[in-house]
Amino acid sequence: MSDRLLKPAVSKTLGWLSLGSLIVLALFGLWGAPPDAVQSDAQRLMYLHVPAAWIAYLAFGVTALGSALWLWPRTRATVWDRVAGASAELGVIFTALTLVLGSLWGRPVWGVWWAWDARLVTTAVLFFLYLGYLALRRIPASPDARAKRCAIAALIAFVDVPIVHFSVNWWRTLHQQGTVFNERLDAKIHGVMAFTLWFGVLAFTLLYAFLLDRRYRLLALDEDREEREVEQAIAERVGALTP
Amino acid sequence: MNFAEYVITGWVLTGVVLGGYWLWIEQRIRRAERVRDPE
Repeated sequence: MSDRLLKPAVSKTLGWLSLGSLIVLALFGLWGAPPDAVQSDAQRLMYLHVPAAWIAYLAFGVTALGSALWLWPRTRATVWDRVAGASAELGVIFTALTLVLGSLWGRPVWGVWWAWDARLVTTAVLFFLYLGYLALRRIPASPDARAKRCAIAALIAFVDVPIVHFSVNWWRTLHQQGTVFNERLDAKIHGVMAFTLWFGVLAFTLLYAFLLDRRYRLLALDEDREEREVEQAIAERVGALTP
Repeated sequence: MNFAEYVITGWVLTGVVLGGYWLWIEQRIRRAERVRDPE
């Protein structure tokens, strides 16, 4: 069983690529892209908010996929449970960032920090659902029992992802419809602004892949330590019982 | 820059959260590797 997702050299390269692309994103997001005609410079928060939301979807998608692969008897392997757990934690962090960045944008543009809007509420629900999933992973149990209940919980929680995405189409919301992936697939962003947004998605995807690999490594090391502690405790107990 | 306080807060916060999370992972990996393979 591998305790690494990627080879160290690949992981390192991914780390440097992420850092480089994030620096370029900051240059374009804060200076290169022009201010929006309506939102002015508040638009610059969108170059983080939208990629963060995209990564949250991706992370929870990977968690659902890993969970399904673990539940399927033919593909069941520890690697899928670890991928699911690592990706869920990243998803929670990126969802929290999406909510906070959206709130920081909402104050100058909408005039409020928060609104009881379908997109905002379903995203907050998503955050708490996966926070619950992470809590579930921490409840002591045998590795198989924990993996099974977490996989089921992850698949149930994933139902909220399409609800979040389509909430702006299904209900009348203060939140705007998709700028790129709207009902008509008619992108409402062009030029340097579109480039910056897409570059943000690329930079955050690279960062997600890098962090997923590192978090996986940590999970593997933690599980290895737990296993050794159990073996040691059993050996000590057997030793104490032996006359 | 208009709304600079919101924009700068958002960008700095994102950097701190993601950078802090990465450092936290690396620190724990190093500690776990030290425990597993003591010199």
